[in-house]
Amino acid sequence: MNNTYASRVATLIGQNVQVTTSVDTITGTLVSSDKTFIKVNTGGVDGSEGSKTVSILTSVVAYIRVV
Amino acid sequence: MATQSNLEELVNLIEKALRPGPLARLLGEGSDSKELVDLLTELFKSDATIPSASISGKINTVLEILGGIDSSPFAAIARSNLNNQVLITTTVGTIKGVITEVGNWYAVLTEDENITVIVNFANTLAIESEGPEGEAK
Repeated sequence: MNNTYASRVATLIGQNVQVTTSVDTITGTLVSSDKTFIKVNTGGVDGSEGSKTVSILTSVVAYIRVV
Repeated sequence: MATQSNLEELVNLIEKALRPGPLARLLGEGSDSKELVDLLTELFKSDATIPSASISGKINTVLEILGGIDSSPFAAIARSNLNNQVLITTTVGTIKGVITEVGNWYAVLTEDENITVIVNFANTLAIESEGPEGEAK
């Protein structure tokens, strides 16, 4: 149902984004987006120490801001 | 001459039968009505007798008639406010900006300072626009 939202978000892969849900706002580099999860790399360069990938349920995302 | 014309018509018919037309392709599995909306927008724009303010209304009517396309009820409202400033209330808070793009389940807004926001209609509660519905600003 929300696949069109996920597809549009996928066009932002590689950009810095703020993903806002009702619980938290996650800021980082968008890694992937599909109808199930939107994945954001936070806390550093991908693969480096302190780097984390946060998987967020696409259905709970209210909006994404390109920062 | 008449035989040649009939032959051309027959060839056209066969080609149409073998190759799905644009609508069949757009409405097929996994279709996204954005492509259809773009197509209709161009089509209606080419008719100078249609006021630009009523184009979105006509697009919404066509989409309703075609049916079968899964989209949020907010998509039609957002589409009628394309290029207008709106206030979108989500489960998290409100976003104010100009609607620059609308999909079945999202709207792209440009906030002040040119920041892009993609709003998920699945978690949208209300869209507030200025003036009467669908009025061009």
